[in-house]
Amino acid sequence: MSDRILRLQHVEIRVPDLELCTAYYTEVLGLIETDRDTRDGVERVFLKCWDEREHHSLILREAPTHGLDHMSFKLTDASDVNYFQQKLEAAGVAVKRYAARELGPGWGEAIRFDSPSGHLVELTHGTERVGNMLPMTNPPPRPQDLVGIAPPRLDHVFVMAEDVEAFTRFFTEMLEFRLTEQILANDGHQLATFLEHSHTPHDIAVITGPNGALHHFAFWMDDWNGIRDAADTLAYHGVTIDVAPTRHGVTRGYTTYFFDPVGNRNELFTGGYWVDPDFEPITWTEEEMGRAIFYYHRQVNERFFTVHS
Amino acid sequence: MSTTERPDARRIDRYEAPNYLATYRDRKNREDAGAPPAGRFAADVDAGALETADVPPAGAPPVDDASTPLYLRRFRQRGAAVPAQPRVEFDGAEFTPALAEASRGKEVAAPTSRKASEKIVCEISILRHGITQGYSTDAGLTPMGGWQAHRRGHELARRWNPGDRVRLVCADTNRARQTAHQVYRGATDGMALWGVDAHITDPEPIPELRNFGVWTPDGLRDVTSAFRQYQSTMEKLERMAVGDRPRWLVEIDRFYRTQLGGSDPIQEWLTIPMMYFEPPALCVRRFWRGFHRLVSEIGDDELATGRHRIVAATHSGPMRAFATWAHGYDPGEPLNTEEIRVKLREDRRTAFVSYRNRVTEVLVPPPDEFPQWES
Repeated sequence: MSDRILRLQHVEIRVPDLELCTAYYTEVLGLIETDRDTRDGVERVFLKCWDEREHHSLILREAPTHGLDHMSFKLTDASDVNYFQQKLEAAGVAVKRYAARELGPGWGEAIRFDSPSGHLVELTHGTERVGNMLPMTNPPPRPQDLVGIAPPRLDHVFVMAEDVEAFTRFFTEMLEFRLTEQILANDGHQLATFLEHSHTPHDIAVITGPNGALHHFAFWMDDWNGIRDAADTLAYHGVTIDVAPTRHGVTRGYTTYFFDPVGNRNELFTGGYWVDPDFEPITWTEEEMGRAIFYYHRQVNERFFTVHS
Repeated sequence: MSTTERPDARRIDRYEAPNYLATYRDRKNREDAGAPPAGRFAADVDAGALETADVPPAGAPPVDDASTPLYLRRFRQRGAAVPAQPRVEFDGAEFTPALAEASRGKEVAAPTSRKASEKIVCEISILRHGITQGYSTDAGLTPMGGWQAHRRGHELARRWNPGDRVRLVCADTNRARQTAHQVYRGATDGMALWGVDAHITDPEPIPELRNFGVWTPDGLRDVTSAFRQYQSTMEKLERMAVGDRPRWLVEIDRFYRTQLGGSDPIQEWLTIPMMYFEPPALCVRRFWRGFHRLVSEIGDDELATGRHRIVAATHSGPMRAFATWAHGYDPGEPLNTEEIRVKLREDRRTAFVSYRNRVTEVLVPPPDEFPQWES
């Protein structure tokens, strides 16, 4: 498997209240607003985490509903755009191609297509770089004027699909993701899978649920203390916390889940293991699904499965 | 697209707007006003350069050299950015959002119709000083007292209209002077916050606002300084164990023993005739003489504009006498920084005195008709 895809580049989400969500993502989560634009008469706000060098990693688009608009993965090389376009078109997937900046400010060259689950997926190369607020020579470890939680980067996205197997096949065969973990039902079907390209446990994960739904997208924290402190910040700002800081069985990561003010679920994630290209997927059984997801509680709260956007 | 244009189904009910929204708006207002923009990234800066954000916005004072620490440059940049005050317009009048918020649901001024029929040419606010360090010396305000006065100035500024001219005067004691000084600072802050462009003079002590006096062998003295003389004299007399104490000493002793006993010496001063204390009526007349003087300094044409106000920081005793004179009963001791409001009407013969939820129309004693009682 190649490493033509580097990692999750950005997610664009729909929000019914752009100002409130911008306030939340900048003041509570501490992302940095880099740009705004109006596309098709709808306003969008571009945000990035402080340690990301690219122009944006989260885009808020004003819309009547909440949920995922699309997810975008970063390609290593400009030629990879052609590579995936040819590969997908050869397999009969309709691909739309966009020139750099055609989709918005700072945007690289991109192709877009639908996954079998109906999620709009984008592969992009050449997102404009704006730097990570630190000098390139003798930098301090962290900028001094961060506000809120200020996670250093976007980590992964977790979506729902009716046919997890088809989704997984599409991502592993077409987009060359590696399967790191799976939760298998007793009848042998995949209930959930975890796929990666960046040598971390997951860049995208999928669980059984309605097509096109977003379960959450996650920001990386550097350590467990960051997650714990973040929970303080969330509680201080009255943010609805879905799952208090705890640990996953799958990915072994530390986590906390919460909702943005319009109902999109966010996660803060840290820990987990490193994945080599020859990593053999880990399998969880249906009986142990509770432990797989919340290792300490050993059961999943109902909201976790039923609430999505 | 603004939030107000959306159909109902898309509305988010912000019945409890989170605090981070306010912080965000505040930050955004600052940035719109020309503070360093959000683009503060330095992907390819040269070695040694710190951040592109160190380049000040156009019109800002020149940036300091690299020897200035980063935090100091940041601090100066923040200070350089003057936040733009968004304005709220209603019925032809403009307010800052802070003023609109603070006055929402409150009547801050009489309705225009009533105001028109009762043309007020000068509004006088008589304030008591803030919490003081004590009444036995002229020690001045406690930090809390300073804060109270600051808050009061802040509140006063809210009532002022753009273009008002405020004369700030006080009694010549430390506590009144410091109160006036803090009122000045609070009012200046308040005017910036409420967006009121009024003019306020520096605080100025005037003799007419002094506390009530006591006749001592050295002449009429302010009650606080008379107390110091009383104490030293008492001490001396007790040491000498001589017979009768002088009468002024007897009275002042009775006055302070009332206070020590937890009772109300000002009430005693108001109700019991005293030989050596300045009578309450004289305090009222002294106040009026002062106000007449201040008003006459304004000039008739200026006064007719109705834009003049006087803020007077003074002491509780004469204030209470003034309120008692106006209302016809004793409404009680003013609290720290509590206010008696006098609205002088156009003819300058009548005024409204409001204190403690009671408004009384009074005949203004004309300055030339005062009987010559004062010694």
